Amino acid sequence: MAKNAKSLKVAKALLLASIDGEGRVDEQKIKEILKELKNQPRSKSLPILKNLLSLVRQKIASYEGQVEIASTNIEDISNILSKSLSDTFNYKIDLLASTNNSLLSGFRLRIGDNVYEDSLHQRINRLQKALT
Amino acid sequence: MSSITDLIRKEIEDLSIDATRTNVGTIITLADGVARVEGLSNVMFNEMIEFPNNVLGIALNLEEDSVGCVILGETSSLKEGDEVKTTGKLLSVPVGKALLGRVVDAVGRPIDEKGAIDSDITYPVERIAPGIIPRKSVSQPLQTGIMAVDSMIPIGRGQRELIIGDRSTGKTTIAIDTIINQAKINKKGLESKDKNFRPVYCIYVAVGQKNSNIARTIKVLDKVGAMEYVTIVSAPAADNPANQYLAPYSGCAMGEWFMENGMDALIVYDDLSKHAVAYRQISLILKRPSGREAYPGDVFYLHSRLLERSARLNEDNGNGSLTALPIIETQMGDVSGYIPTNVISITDGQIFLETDLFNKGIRPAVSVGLSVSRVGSAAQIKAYKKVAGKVKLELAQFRELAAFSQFESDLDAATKARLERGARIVEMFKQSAYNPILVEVQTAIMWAMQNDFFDSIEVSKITESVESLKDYLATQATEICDEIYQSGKLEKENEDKLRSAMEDWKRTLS
Repeated sequence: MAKNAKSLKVAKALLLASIDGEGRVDEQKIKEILKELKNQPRSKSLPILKNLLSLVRQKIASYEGQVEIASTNIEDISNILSKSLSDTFNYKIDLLASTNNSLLSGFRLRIGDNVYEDSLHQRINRLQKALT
Repeated sequence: MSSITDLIRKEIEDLSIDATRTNVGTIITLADGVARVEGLSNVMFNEMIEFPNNVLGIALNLEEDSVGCVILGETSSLKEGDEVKTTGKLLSVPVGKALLGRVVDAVGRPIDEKGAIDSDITYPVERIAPGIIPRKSVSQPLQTGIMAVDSMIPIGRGQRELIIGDRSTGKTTIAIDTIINQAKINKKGLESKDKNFRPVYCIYVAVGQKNSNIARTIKVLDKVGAMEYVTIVSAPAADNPANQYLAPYSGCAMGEWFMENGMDALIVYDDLSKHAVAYRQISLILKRPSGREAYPGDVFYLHSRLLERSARLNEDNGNGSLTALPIIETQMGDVSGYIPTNVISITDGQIFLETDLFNKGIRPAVSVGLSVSRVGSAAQIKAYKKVAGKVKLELAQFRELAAFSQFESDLDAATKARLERGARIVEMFKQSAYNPILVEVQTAIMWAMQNDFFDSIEVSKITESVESLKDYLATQATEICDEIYQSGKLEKENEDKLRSAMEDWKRTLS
């Protein structure tokens, strides 16, 4: 338990060191960290790497959103959403857009742990729940 | 028809709102009914989590990098990588009179195939116990119908009385008898149309029990017509530990509804030893630090926060009450175990059942020396107090003298008389299961014992004579019993009537 807390602390410090001026994870810095960790004994580096992976994933997810759109012109909608989100959060958010026809209409956007959804599929589900 | 269209219309109106935001996470490990979830950064402690396929869970461990959730359903459909989401709600159960006569699971879903529960009120499972100001001292009796208990260890409404003993010593029987007695009293009271009559509604929480035992309990309650006043919360041994952990809290929430609405309720937790074991299991899987006997550090709080929710509220707060009868199973009669001592210190007394007495045929096997009720005597009715006041002392003296008299060949008259009286009291207290006695009948029997009406009867025939007296009182002396029931007192003129009734009974006996 204590060992894991220590490795989490180290991983957090490493993540902080790998952030660039725009608040994004710098690939080059990560590569350097990995190179340095390779020289460490496996028992020491493995828990740090696991925690680092999880933290980097969380950090990237906070500025790289995924948007599913039930439409053909996904790029236009994605650009509008990206601009609107960047204005709201005060930092640039990139969106990875994809088509999801099961939404029927609307969109589903995930940034970090939060999912924003306004789709017909969700509305039908809510209606179904209310009636049963 | 119109309600359906209104519902759809309302839902369509709601649809015009903006995009909804949900907080999500991903299952990273899943084992023994506990999931570790990455994400869920906005989750609250004890919040309900929605897993795929309509499975629910509760967030119990909020850690820096993950959330530990216990799953309240079938886990076979879940897998690593599944997305879960927060609901923004604390776990709640349906409450109200609609639950009477029903058997529900740990989250209040019906399992008796009698259809949905017609209640739109829900209470959160975890609630803060009433504070000092809304409480009141115990002042009204809660009769168990068991003479040994009602006379020596009386229980009051709002009290927490522990039933403790080894396996197969009759712990559940005492609880079931109490429930049956409440049903009997409720029926009589409601028939009398007395405006001041306050029925007691019962909740029986079965934790970690065999399904066959729960089925037998339901059958017994059904057979005697008590089910209409009872709700059964079932979390059997086959259920996952999360449900076993939650069941007492769910039952308590159901009881609290009665208490907070000015009614009286009784809740039986059968049993809290298994509840502690289920909690230990969850804690170990959640990797919480373990302490004595591998229980987590907050095992005392587990039971104290549950039992503190039983209370007697004052008039300003509706005058309701919730009486708790927790059950604890000991190992080889050892009351100094971790969980037994915890629960003993939380409750307002205990009924200790001894294996030796049970095997000797003294049933209920109540140990007079180790059983105590700290607050209940204040709630005993006057008539009963008058006849039962000295019994505990007499019986304790008898036990002591009986041990010494084994070595004495020549005993003085006073000692002999005490031994004779004690042996008769022991026989009088023998009572068959599921056969509670109403308080007025108990008063009459005790009065007869105190006034030497049993002295001429052989000790071996006392139990039989008590049965005959019960029959006599139920058929020939209903008037005097009703008077005691109505007034709650034993005046000189009642005693005269009792004396003539007893003389008459003795004649029929001979």
